[in-house]
Amino acid sequence: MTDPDRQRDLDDLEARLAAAKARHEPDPREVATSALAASTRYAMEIAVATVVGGAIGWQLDRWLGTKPWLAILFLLLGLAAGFINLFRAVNRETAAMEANEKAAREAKASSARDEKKI
Amino acid sequence: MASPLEQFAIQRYTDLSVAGFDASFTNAALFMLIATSLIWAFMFAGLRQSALVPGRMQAAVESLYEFIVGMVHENIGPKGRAFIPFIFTLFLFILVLNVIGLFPFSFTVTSHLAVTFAFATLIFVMCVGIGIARHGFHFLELFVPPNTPWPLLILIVPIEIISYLSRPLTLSIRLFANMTAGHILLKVFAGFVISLGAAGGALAFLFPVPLVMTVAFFALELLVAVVQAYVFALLTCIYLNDSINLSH
Repeated sequence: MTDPDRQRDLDDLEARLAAAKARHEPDPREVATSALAASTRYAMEIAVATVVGGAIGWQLDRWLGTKPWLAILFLLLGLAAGFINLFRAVNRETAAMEANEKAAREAKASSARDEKKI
Repeated sequence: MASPLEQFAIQRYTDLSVAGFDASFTNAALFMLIATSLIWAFMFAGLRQSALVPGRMQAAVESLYEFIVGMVHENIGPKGRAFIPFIFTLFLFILVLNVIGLFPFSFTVTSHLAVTFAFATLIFVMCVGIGIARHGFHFLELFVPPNTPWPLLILIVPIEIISYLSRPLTLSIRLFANMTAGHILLKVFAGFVISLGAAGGALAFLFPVPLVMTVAFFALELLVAVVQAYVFALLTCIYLNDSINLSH
């Protein structure tokens, strides 16, 4: 076996490793666990934020004598708070997914380049 | 037949009063003690001989610890090192309480809102205290997201404040609701087995159906017990991160 041969073997291995890494998908059980965790989290946040907002508004109404306007206003603000948390989580998740896909594409492109060189 | 809610009843074993407060020894206290001694036994068995090449128990303790260290590092960063013992204790305590609650005739401490809300309040007060101690008045920047046009701030700031104030409630109600709902479901389906069997005749042959369901739900409850302990610890990390690094 000559040196260029060995070098080619190494390059080949490198390319296959990169491709395998790009293909690598997380353990489905892990995904299910974190999806279950996240879904219970955001569903709960929407419900509780609405209730807390309503409670704050109701208490302010009692102090300021503005029944029922502040209760309604704060109930809606609470609902908005819950949904904003959800939107942010979805945005974060999308950004992470896009970054993942981009990394996978680049790895594939670089491995294709390597093959062309050989 | 016993009510499905009977399993959540607090029983007093001895009456005790400390400075006018009711501090009786109850089944909740008993099961917290059991959980603590189980954790102690686990840690003791794992760390009795601190070998360079870990044995089976030591590897179990170490991998659990590594798991928490990874979670803290990922969510708080290097500044979170000081909180690893707290998160580790919290996670292990809730996990063991959840899991021993699944044994027949046992009591699930985390199915009481009083307990989970006490945990959540402690964490909330800790987060606010750490935030003010580390950042002073800058801590209030937490309620002002960066790059927000100022007219929107009138709307965003109250929303952020409500969202922040609802944290202890979401944290406590999620754990409590998951544990309570799961245990009621298990009890109801287990009750069907008995009542179908007692009904006699053709109905008695149907009893394996709820029995199979009970076994399936039990597996689900085991998953929920672990996942909820994990979520509790994870959210504590995320909330501490807000206080320590002032990020959204």
